[in-house]
Amino acid sequence: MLGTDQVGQDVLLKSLKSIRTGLVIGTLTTLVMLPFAMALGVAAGYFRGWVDDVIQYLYTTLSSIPGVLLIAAAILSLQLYMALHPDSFATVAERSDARLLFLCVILGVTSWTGLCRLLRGETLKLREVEYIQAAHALGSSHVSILSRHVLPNVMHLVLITVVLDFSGLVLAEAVLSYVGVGVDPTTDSWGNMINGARLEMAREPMVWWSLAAAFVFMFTLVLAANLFSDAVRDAFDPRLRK
Amino acid sequence: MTTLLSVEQLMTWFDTPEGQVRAVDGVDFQIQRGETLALLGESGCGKSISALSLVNLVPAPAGRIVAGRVVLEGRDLRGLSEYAFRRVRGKRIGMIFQEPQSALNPVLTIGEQVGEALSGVRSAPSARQRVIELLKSVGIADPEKRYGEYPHQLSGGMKQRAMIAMAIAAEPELLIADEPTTALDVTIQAQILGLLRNLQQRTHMAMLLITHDLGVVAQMADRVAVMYAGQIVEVSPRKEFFTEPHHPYSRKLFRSVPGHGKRGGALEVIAGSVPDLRKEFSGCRFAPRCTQAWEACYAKVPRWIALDGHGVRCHLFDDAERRDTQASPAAVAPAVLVGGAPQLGEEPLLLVRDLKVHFPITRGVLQRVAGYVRAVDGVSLAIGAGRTLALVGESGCGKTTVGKGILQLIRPSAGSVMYDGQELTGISSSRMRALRRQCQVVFQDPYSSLNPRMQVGAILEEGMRAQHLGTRDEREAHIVELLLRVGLPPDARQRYPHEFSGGQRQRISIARALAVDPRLIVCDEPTSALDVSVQAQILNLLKELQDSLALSYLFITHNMSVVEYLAHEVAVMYLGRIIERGAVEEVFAAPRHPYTQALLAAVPRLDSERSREVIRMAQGDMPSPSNPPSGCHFHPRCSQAMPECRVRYPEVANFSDTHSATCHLYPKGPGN
Repeated sequence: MLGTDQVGQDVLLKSLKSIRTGLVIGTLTTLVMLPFAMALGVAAGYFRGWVDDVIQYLYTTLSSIPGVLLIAAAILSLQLYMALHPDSFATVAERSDARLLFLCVILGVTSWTGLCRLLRGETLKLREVEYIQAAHALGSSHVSILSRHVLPNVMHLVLITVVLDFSGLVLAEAVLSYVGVGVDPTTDSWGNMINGARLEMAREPMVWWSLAAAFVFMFTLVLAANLFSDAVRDAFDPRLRK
Repeated sequence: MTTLLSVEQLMTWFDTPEGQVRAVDGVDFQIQRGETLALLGESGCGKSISALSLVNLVPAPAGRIVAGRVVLEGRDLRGLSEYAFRRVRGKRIGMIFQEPQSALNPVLTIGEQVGEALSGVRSAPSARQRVIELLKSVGIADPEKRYGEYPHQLSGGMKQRAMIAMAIAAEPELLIADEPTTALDVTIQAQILGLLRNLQQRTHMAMLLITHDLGVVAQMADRVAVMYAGQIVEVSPRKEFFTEPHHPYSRKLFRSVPGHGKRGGALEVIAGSVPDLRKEFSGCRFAPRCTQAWEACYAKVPRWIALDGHGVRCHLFDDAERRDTQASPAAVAPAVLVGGAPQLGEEPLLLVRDLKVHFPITRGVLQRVAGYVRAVDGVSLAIGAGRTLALVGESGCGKTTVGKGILQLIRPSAGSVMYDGQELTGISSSRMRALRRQCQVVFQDPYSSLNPRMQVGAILEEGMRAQHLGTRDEREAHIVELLLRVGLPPDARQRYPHEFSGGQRQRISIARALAVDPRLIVCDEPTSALDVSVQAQILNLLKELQDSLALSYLFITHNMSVVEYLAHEVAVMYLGRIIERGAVEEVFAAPRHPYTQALLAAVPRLDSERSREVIRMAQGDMPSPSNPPSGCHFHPRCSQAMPECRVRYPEVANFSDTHSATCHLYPKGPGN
């Protein structure tokens, strides 16, 4: 339906398969970073003192490392490791899976700082709010205050950031793969499709459809994720419920 | 006098997803030159929207002016283009808003902002000269220096003065003041009101004063217009309004104001709340809350009835409607109160000695401590079982911090808090957690004191859950009981806080505190955010609860009339220290400390005439607690300061067993 690429593979099928890669990168990375960001951000804002100092120090350090360089270095060292230990990675599929997983972890470890900072700020504000003071006065424990008062009231921030990050990660994958430090070149992904289509653009007549397919699919996924998060946030807000 | 502004049948409606809200629904009034008209009413009755409609600043596109004429000196303002209107605003009509904090732009200097309001093109030096003149005329000391300062460097009262300077910069003929003193302390309020009166006398400008405070009306207004649910229900000269209000709503308002005369009895409340403005009214808007309503009130919209000098919108004064067999006023059954306050027991329930809360000020990269903010600096007080101690003072004097320090929400830096014979300072968190059952807190803002994401039932259950009280079913039953006790329906427990009005939310806050059966409740300004009629409901509830459950209250407030009504003892705080204490009768009858005297004099009274003796307090605001003045903290503002005051902090002088003050005017020793 969308034609074929230079080696005769169906572009539609390739794009559909790439959704999987995009989703895996988006969700897995988000899942990796979410616990870090939430636990550390809320803890920093709520307990303050030395806890706050340590966490702030940690994320300031992490966020000042150039992300692309770190990812490139990590992927290159993984490649080296795979080259030195060919027996632990029997098949090509295993190799590309390992590389995808590793990419998720690296992206996850580097991308939690933004959300963490946001949550810290919001929690700092919330802990002075009167209903939290009242909960203290009632003798509620820290765990119950955090889970019943703080978390529900920062969830909207978490949702928005997670979806924005998800979209960002899907796009980041494309960019990284284009640069050559993303997923394995044999994995179906939009980044690889774009990378492949780059050379095709120069042909006469121009082969534009594989680039366009990658673009349209990426765009649709990101847009869908954004709309979904809006709906979820509204559904959880008691003030908007009729 | 000639009519400056006349408003006829003004209607402003808002389109909301739930339907049309008729915020202003047919308002008529006139303002004469040089006159002050007070627009009085509860929140949500359309006062501010009426004022915004006059100057065409209704928030669009939701709101729109549907009908009516606004005539300023024979010229209808409604037809003007936005461009033409800009010349009217500021130049002929000036405005002051309630919140001086948010009405000034934080990144521009005061001089620039006031200069912006000057009309016409002026050269820079003459504009500067004029701004400094203006700042001087609104009583800002050292205007040359203030010219270049930013809003955050000014106190609340100074900001409001700067706002007034902006409003009068172009010498308007009409000044619209929308709750100009609501956000300010009484002492500052008195200064600002005095300033407005002086300006008015000097420039002969007219003023539309929007307020909910009867005391402010008594001091300022020439005529009063009472607004209710989008309509004006009564217009009357001030004197007549205060001696003989006509409309049942106005009468009710008067009776719900707390004060000394009403001690011991329940305050009269207006049942219910302001009606939903989305529906058409087929009768009188006040009828559902009126105790004198009869069938005609529900069936027919009342006419405007002009009596000599004043007018009222009520069937009671309409001869065509009036009937001899008028339903006798159905008396609101006031809560039966147990007479007489419980006597002070031998052992006070709460004994605070020399409580200090200091916050460190840190500087530099290494966070070295550069000094301390002495928010609370040696406060001692005692509350007996079933008694109410009121802690009064201006904002920033440390009242709230005292409350939090007692509850150990902030750990005090020094001093002792004995609760029922147990020392609370330095106690372990787990033991404190168990004691939390006994001392509870009710906060000021009913909007931020309830978690918006929890159902009311869960909010009330929280304390019982934390204290492991009862089984699930018992807790459930207790919640229903609590809701009934504070006057809410039992099905409220499945609803969310945003579905309730301010007064109802405050009831939920009180129910939450009561859930764990406390003996002491710290009430931190529980009625300050509420309307007078709702305030009366909450005060009645607190009083009734005290009588039936023998609760003790630490009542933190700045509202003197509430203190007079509710408290047994009073302690006046200034800059982190208590400067006078005593039984309410003693302190209100014969205040000894100059600060207490000034504070009491600053409270606008309903029953007094304008030419009341005002105890002048020197200009200026409360000094910073990080750098208190030497000697007596109050001496820079004190009218009776002596050289000694600058040197030494005075000692406590006792006037009776209960009454004492800290002032050099009363040297220690017998016979004083």
